[in-house]
Amino acid sequence: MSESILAVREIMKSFGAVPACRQVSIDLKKDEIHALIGPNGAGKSTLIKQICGDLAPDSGTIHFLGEDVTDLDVAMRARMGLGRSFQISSVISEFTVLQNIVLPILGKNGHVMRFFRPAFANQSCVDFARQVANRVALQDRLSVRAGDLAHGERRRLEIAMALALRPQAFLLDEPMAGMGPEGTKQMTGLLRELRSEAPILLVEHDMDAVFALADRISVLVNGEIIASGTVGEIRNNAQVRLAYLGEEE
Amino acid sequence: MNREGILNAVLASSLVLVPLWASLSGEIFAITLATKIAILALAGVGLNIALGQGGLVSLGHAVFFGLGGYAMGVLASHAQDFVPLLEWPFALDGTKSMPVIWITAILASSLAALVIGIISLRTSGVYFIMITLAFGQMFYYFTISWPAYGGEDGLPIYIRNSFPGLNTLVPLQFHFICLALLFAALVFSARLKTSPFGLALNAARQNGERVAASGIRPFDVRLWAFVISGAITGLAGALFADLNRFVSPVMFSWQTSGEIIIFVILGGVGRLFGPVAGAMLFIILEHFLGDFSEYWQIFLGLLLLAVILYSPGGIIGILAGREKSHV
Ligand SMILES: Nc1ncnc2c1ncn2[C@@H]1O[C@H](COP(=O)(O)OP(=O)(O)OP(=O)(O)O)[C@@H](O)[C@H]1O
Ligand SMILES: [Mg+2]
Repeated sequence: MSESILAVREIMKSFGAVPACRQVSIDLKKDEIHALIGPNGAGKSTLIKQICGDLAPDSGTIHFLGEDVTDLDVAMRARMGLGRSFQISSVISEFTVLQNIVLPILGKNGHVMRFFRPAFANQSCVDFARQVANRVALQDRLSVRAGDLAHGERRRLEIAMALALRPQAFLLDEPMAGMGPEGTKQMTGLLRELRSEAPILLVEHDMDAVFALADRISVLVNGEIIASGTVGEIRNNAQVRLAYLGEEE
Repeated sequence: MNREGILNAVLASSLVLVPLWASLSGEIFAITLATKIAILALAGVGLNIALGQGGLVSLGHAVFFGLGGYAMGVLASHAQDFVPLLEWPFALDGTKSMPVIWITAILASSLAALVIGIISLRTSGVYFIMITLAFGQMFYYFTISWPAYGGEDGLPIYIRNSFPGLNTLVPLQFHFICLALLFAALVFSARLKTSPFGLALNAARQNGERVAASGIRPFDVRLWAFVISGAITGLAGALFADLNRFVSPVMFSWQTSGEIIIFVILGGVGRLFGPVAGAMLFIILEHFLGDFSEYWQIFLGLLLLAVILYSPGGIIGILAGREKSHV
């Protein structure tokens, strides 16, 4: 068995009386794309937020790279190499594409408490940022304000910001949301390439993309993982069809 | 040089040339006015780091301005009365040396900014404004009710403090001391803006969540910005006290905080020379309209309203256009 990069154990989370995660356990292993699917309001984003540290679980633990990170804050987990995209695009909109990508490089390198030399005087940092931009096909948009990017480009910028952390794992919350077929195809190709960099925990509603990409799929319904297995197993799982896939037909 | 660069150069050289001319033609009062502009601009440069670069609307910067003022007042009053500041656990005398006073002002205001920042930066928006205001009021009422240094009446210092090698009693020399400090703060502020720290601070103003996901704690960045900001405004407070040779609780009042914000907004939030342009306009208006009518602040209010509604970039924005991205 390959080692777990990320191990979530028996996470519980309620918002008031509304349970959003009930005893959720999930793993992300080396070199895999693990898709997390489920209907709206199932608790997928809530789970992602607990893994990256935005929300604290009521109980349960999260291990990342063999370390218990349950009590670490978002920034510390990011520096350890947890790269993330948000369900609703979240970039620094007044910054250029290049500035956006430089930001996580500074964070990762611990170079933030430098007050005098211009950030862009650090050639190796800028070179790396350009390299990252190349990988998400934004090399021609480096000096465009992030707020002026097209939706699909902004999505790719978020991936670039995760990549710039030299991540050990990606947490991507619906990276294809709101994209046309062309954009979805491009993103699917991109995610396939990213897998060699680090494993991906992928929340996605686009079933074609999920079936094309995932090595494993877990199905979250009402805060509970009701099934977990390979693409074939999940496709043929009666409970999953009833609870979730049935709605898609 | 772009238009903003030219404008900045004009503003900077006017603070050099007008006092020189005034000194030659014996218009001492004009020098004092220019010195006041330089000092208040310095206070604004401090606030602009928190407000302009960090988006932190502090209505409590009078705390730092006042602490700087009282650092000067306390040290100088002990020196002029020949009463030691401390006898136990070690003997400590007051001082009339500007550099020592400045360092004390910077240390005191940084420390206050650290404590106030740790508490108030947990909130944001209106709550942040209210908490910083509350700290200002605490210091204000404390100095009013503390009789040792003049209480409500304030504390006069009879002779201006000294600076090695210069005669600070000559208005032009004191002006150039203040101006040098203003220019140093402007250079620092410009460097800060493009530094890794400045980038993170500007990012945190726009989207703290994304900054955290980039491995940077927005709280830490804002806290350091607040401390740096408070330190610069504190230094300005010490100079202001020296200009007037007088400190009083008014330096801690919320009106003082409000005026520093007005300099920044009038001049252009986040623009390097915004506080310089803002303080200049404010002082000139106060001087000329103040003679003309006691209600000059009504005009100021109208002007402020016009700037906020029609030119968020302030005077610098009107004259130099939108800010160029710094890459
Ligand atoms: N901050 C919050 N406060 C209260 N309830 C919340 C909060 N965040 C999420 N919830 C609730 O928790 C449940 C799970 O929400 P979550 O956003 O995790 O679902 P999701 O699976 O990501 O859905 P979607 O596919 O629509 O993105 C929902 O019932 C939601 O209303
Ligand atoms: Mg969601």
